[in-house]
Amino acid sequence: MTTPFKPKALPLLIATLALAVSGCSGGGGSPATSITGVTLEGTAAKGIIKNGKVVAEELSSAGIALRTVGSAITKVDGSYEIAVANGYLGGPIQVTISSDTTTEMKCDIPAISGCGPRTDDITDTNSTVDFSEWYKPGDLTMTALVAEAANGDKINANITPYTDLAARRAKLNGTVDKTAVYNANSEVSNLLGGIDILRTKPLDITDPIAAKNGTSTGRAYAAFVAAIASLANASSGKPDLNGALLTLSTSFADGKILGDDDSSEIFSLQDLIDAAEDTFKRTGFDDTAGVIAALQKEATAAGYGFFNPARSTTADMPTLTKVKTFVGDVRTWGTVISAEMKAKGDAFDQQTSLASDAADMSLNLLISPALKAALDAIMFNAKSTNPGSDLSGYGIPGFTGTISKSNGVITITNGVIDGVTVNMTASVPVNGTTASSFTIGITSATFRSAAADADIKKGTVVLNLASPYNINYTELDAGTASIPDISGASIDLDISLTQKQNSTGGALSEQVTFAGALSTTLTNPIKDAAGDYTWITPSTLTLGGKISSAGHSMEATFTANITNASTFTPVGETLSNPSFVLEGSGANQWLDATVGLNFGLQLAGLPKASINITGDRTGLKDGTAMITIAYGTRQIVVNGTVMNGVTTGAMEITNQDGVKMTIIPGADKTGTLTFNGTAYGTIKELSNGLVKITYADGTFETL
Amino acid sequence: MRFRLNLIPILLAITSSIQASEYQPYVTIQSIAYSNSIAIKAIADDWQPPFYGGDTALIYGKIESGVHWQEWQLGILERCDYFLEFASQTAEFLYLTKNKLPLAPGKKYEIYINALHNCSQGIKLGRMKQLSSTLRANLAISYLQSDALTDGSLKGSALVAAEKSYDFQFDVDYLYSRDTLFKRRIDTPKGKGYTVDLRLDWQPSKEFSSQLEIIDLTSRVYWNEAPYTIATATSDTKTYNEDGYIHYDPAISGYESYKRFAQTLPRKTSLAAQYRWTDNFEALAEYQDFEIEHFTSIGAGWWPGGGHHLQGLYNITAKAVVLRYMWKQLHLELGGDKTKINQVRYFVFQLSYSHSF
Repeated sequence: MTTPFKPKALPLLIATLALAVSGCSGGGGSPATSITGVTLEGTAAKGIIKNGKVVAEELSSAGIALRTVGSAITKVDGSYEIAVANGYLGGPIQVTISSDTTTEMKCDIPAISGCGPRTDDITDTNSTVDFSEWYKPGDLTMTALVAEAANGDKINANITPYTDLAARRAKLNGTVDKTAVYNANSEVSNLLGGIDILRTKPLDITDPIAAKNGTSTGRAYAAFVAAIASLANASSGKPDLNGALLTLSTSFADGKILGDDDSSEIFSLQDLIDAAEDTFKRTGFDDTAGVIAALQKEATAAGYGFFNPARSTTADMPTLTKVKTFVGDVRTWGTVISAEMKAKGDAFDQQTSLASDAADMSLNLLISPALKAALDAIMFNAKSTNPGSDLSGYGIPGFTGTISKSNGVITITNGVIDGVTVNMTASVPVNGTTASSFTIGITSATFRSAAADADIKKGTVVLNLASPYNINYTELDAGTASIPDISGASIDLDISLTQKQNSTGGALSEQVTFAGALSTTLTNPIKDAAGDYTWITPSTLTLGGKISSAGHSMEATFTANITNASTFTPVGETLSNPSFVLEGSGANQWLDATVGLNFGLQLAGLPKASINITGDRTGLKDGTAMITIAYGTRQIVVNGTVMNGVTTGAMEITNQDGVKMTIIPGADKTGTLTFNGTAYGTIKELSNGLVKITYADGTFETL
Repeated sequence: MRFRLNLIPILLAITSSIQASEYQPYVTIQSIAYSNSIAIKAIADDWQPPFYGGDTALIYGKIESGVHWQEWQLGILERCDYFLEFASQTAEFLYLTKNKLPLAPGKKYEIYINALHNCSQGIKLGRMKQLSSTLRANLAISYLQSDALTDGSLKGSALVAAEKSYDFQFDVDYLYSRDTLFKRRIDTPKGKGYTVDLRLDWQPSKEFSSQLEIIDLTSRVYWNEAPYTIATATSDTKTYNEDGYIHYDPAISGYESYKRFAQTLPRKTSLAAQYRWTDNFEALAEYQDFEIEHFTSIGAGWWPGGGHHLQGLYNITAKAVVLRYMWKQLHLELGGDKTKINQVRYFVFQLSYSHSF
């Protein structure tokens, strides 16, 4: 193979050796002795649990507790930390949280009834344990299993219904060794779309600030944790959590779970997804990590059959092998993405860019004028008592065809304007209607022209008003009607566009098709001094679509949550002002957004991957970003921080096994490879540009 | 060349503090540097042209001081060896790639470079013996402490795919005190050892004389914890796993650790002969063997009177001129093949002085 990169490496190496002499300048096996310096830390959550008693025990291979190696009480945020006592010999560690009369749990069930009637002695303003309120859960026991620990390890061991599920899975075969534990934890992690159940901190999703400040996967994890309580039997007044844990275990008895079911005796993947979605809706967040969407595909594919998540093939490898495998994955994906993807992506980008330019022109010059003409005709028809059915009589130059109205539904048939043929059905509020919410919608529409085709499958705008409003088209047409006080809105659009010609009118070699949907919820409308609306902030936004051309296709969804939508105020006063400035650095002057972009990626020679890019804004020019490349049972996760618009600090790359690569930027990049906080390799960029990784066993390689 | 200047005050102190007439303090500074492929300076300076082809480069330097007492000699010394041997194709490949010159597609270059480097300080004990009326021998043994090491090789090949790209494969196996290739962080190793030097002076007649000097006749420097690296490098990193998916192997991989190592210093042999056909003139012939390179020189000497002695030699191998001036116990030698420092491929310097009270 020809060297595609670092062509200077060989001469540099040879010359360096020459210079060296002429340059004149100056794991494995079971430990028999006690493992020391180990720390266990994590968060106990089935709803955040405070004052829960956490006990760590070393297990025999039969799953019998050999000795207690530490204990702790969870704090108000559910966290605990245990310094493992001397005497621990390196076997699996079982971490168990149990409740007593002082233990309290945050209710994270989004239902109106929350976690049921208040039956404990906690002071409340009503008789219900509402969402985000503390309550005493009664009898509750959950466990997590840690496969092994080495000297000095700092191990994340969160305790959740899913770690409990993994622990039960690990114990099923009677042999509880590190292999069984690693595999079970990996399998259950993949049940949750790759969320690392031990190391991902489950957030307090009932706390908007904690949820906002956490990671996208942490929010998703919390939503699925909350799902267990939502699905628990609450017939006794409060959720039977121990029973729900048992049901979850039963539902996943063979390491697979039904995609969907009609039974209340077991949990299906669809049950978990639905309950997690409910939690997201309750909190106002969207799943920017894309976990729900990914699992929904699995559930849909499984139907009433089983979804069988596989464990990571590297889960039970010796630690150093895991580390080296991870480096190999990073090298392979990095090389392919930076080299092959660039060449192909450029061509694809050129094609779609060309089509995009042309599409803009078609939309602006063809489709949009046709849409405007059609809407004008529909509004004219709606407010007129006897408008007639011939479009040529509607005062719209060049518009021909027929229009009809029936029960508030207006239909344009074979309308033609500027070479665009329009067929459209729309509904508008009936004249004289009084309501606090109005829906304006395009039921369906097709636009056909030589340059482009466009379809609107659904187009709905819902306006929510502060008070009931009476529709009077005559007054609206005359400009004498009062302007309703809008409190919020939502928009749903589902469109597709096929571009056939370029902007010069020539036929595209390959047609480009975009099909997508936009859904947003708007809030906090801003008026100017004249009382005109100048701005309304989207609190959630979902944009999804698929662009296809010449066999290439990219399906993507974009999700955004703006947590300060209700308080955000644009810096500029009016949108019509040319100097209008949307954002500033002051309080509530920048959109506090958490965004997520998900798309599939198929690179030549590599397995198909799903890509998730999330960003969390922490200031006008500050934020964090995370890129997840998931393929098969493996994933690569890249984390970075942006300060004042510039990438700063260390970049962290992790994988499904919890191996972490930390790269510190600088003149000569350095870094470490760690697992459970213990270094297994160092990273250093050589003067020839190669990045050298030296492992703890003396071997080394370039990245 | 790297010498620690902190030895100089010690040397001066020794030579100035000995007053007894039976003692003869001495000091010697000598250095030789040669590269047959490219200017010496260019080796450390990105292989700037001109390029001459070739396969060796060496530097040897020593600073030594001590006393002679009767038949005995006691001194301290610091010395460095830098020896490079490579395939001529390697030098060409290096020259072309370092200077971004076009490569010939399809050409395969042998990549071979063998390197040896040692810097040591030590104590020298010698004895002179008059074996006969015409033959005198000097034998000296030095105890060495070393802290600079390079010993090993890089072997492989490079196949030119296009003017500016090539496939390569090579193996590295070397020990070092400073990992210049892969920047490994290490504690500086320490070596201990010895070396034996021999000098024979033979003068069978008034007109003819000859000297044979062998530096490092036999030597060993023992490194208890010598850092070493074994590595393989290849441009063919693209493989496929069992699922048929691409996997990129590392371009370079290897192993690094520590081991015991006995280093042998290159033997340096010099044979000189003089034939004095008048009281004022002599003919000279010299041959030097540095294991990886041999030099042949011829020249003439002149005694202008007053004990002054001048010699001029032409080094046929290096195409260099060497001038010597000797007066009593002073010996000064300077030579080179070019006058411009950045073009010099051969350079020799020696200053010796022995004081009689």
